[in-house]
Amino acid sequence: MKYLAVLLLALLMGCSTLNKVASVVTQSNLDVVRNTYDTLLAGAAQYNELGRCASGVSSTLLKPCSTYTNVVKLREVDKSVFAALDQAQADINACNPDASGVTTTATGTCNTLTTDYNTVVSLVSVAKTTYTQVTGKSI
Amino acid sequence: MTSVSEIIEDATAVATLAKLAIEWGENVAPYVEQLYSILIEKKTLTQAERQANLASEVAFRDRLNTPQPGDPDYKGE
Repeated sequence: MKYLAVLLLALLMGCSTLNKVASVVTQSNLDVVRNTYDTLLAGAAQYNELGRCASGVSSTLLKPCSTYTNVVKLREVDKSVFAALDQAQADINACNPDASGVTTTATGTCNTLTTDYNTVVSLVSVAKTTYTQVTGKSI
Repeated sequence: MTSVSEIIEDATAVATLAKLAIEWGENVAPYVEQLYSILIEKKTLTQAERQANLASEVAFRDRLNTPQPGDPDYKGE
């Protein structure tokens, strides 16, 4: 019995030890990416509202217009980015890193944060390329 | 210690948004200011600022997804 009590105590002490994980993604890292993407989204919204190009007419600097096909492309990349941003934010909420990227949450909670953040960065890069192809503007 | 390349990258990001702020006017200016604060001044957004950004993001997304005259799913005024 005494042996079991000691064993149980040892197990409990082990389970209560929280691991400090360093260098995870911070809230500021995600804020920067989201901030930059939202700027692109503002431009995409403006592009949608330009008015559709008449048949056979191309967009010019003086008379810009948008096409439904291009707007659909922007909407599709936005769906992907939106989902990825929300997932990364959920990961940060669970992992709770401090400003330096150190967290004391239980081991395993932050495992997907870096991966999901990298997914966001990658998708925002795709969004930037699509935006430039569609509008001729770079961000 | 921040590397030179990191500084250049941060400055480029802020400059790009500043250019767009001039091009697009008030829609983008708040983002330029925030990006500057986060990258250069190393400030952290407050939860209220983050919520405000999210509200703007929702509004922009809504505008992007609103059908326009000529679209197959446009239903008129």
